[in-house]
Amino acid sequence: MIEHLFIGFQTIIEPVNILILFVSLIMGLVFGTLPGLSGVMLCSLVLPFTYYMSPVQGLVMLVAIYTSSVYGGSITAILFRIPGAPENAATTFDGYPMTQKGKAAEALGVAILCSAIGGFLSVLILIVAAPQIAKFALVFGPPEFFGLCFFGLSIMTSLGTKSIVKGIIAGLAGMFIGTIGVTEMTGYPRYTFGLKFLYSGFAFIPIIIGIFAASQVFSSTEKILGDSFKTTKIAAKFISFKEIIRIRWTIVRSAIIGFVIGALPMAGASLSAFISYNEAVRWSKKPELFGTGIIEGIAAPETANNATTGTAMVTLLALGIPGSVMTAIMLGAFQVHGIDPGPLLFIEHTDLVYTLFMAMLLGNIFIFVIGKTQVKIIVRLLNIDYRLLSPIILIFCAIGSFAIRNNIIDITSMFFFGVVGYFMRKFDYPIPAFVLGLILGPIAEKNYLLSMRLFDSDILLFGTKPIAMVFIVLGVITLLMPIVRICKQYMRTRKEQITESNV
Amino acid sequence: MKKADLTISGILFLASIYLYYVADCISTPEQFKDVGAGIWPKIVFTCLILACIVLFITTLRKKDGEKTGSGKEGMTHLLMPVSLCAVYVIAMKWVGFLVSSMVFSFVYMYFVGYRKKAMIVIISLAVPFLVGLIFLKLMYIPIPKGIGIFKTISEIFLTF
Repeated sequence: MIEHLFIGFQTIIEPVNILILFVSLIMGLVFGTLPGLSGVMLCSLVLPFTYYMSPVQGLVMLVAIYTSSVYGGSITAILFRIPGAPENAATTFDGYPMTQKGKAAEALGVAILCSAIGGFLSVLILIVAAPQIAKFALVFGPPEFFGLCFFGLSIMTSLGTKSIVKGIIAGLAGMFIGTIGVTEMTGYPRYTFGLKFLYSGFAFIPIIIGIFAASQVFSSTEKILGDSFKTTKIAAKFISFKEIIRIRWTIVRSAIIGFVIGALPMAGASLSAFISYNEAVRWSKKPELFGTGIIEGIAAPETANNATTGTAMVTLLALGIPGSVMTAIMLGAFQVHGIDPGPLLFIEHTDLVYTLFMAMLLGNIFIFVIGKTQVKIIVRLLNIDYRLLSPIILIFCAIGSFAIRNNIIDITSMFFFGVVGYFMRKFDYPIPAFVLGLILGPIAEKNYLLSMRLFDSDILLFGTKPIAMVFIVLGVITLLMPIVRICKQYMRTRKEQITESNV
Repeated sequence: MKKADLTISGILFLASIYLYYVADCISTPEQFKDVGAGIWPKIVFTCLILACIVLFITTLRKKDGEKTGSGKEGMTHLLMPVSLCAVYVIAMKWVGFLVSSMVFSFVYMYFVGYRKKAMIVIISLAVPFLVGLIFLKLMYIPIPKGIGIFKTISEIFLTF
């Protein structure tokens, strides 16, 4: 294996290959950063060009775009609360509050570092255990996926900073928005009320952009007009080594979650980001601090979503099954060059496979270097007068929403959810819980219905699936934990009151 | 704020009952009744109805004047940005992304109290132009060009 890796390294450091790797990383970073644009979009755009390249060059290009676009989305998520893609939505929970505290550079530092670590470790796992992970991934069927989604959704009780029930209401509202449109399973139009544009449902990205970014601009504009807007001094301090050591277990745990979920077909980076955020909250000694701007809240989702990049390639390379849209595009690139991914790939095209591995490893190192150099420049954006910046952000929100389906209705829905988000902030309904329900709700529904078909409508048969049951039980525990905490607190206060009155 | 929470929970409660009813009306063959299109929304709205009841009761039990949110201070200031955005979206269909964004950013900056005229003009012209150029020329993503004369203007700008 070492010998193959060395050959792969020699191939990747050839001037043309390294140039393609570098340029693709930058392009992926730009597409990942801009809302409405994504790595998938860029890969689809460049796919025809890969035909004119050698298989190594074409695949290195796609792999580099994939790796860097996942990190790119965290930049705007942290600076302006605009997640570049759904997998960066969880990064906004603590990323933007850190920016508001003047710690944008530190937040970006955590995102870069954790993205690079997550991505790097993921490739190592891919190199060492691709065939074994591929076998494990195939054990996951609809009941297991439903269990996983239920576990992810259970965090909505912890995301309500002041009220558990408001967190649940926000999450359920997000789940409702996810049900609008023609159902994937039955083809029945739900909650469309005769409006044609609702038949395809709301696109995720405009809602996420609206509810996070536009609502933030509205709130800040309100403060500017009411003379209560405060400008924060931004420190250019990068994350220290001491802090990295402090959050090491969050990084390790999130990386493991990322590896596992990344290998599951169609699970995706957003699911892993939410689950790892959930786990970071659950394992924390101070869960109440999440959402207020702490580095663990960035480290968890950023490590996990990048840790999916390597293992997401597992089923493609080892079995020839694409587990996501991105890997499906890569399958297309393989086939353009007459290569069939699968068990024989490691034997017939060993050099190509190990060159790809090396490209991903180097790509993650480059991401760290590029990211670290650009932090100081990016942070300067925040020193621009917000009165100047706010319409620019709204223009980006508009064009980013439009780019998804080339439809002005998406801009309208973006602004509509901007207003919804404004009122949610006003009345303390947690926006993260809403987004959680919006993203995980449809996945949970699909897998629930598939499971019920599998079980012949007998819900009790979930009990025959141990992996699914583990997730469901963990989900119930997560749902109940904040309630138990409140009950304990209530009992303690009552006890103190009784003791005081007795005295 | 207590009043706001009671009102919101009340409205959501009524809306959930209506939407549950809509889900219940989805016709599903008998053999698929547990896997039909209405089952998931019914689960969601049952939970939502319960959550609204809990919120209503807990809010009622709270002492008067207990602050549960940031209040409606300055909510009237929301009207200006939202109205501008509404006009921006409506206008974009007719006048295209470039012209509508230029006017929108100019008016927005002026309304929020930015007074450096040269800067307002430069930003209003440069940002939409650059964004349009990047999306259209570099990324091959179409942008709304408007109709009639505005379409011509957009095309002239973007032929650079």
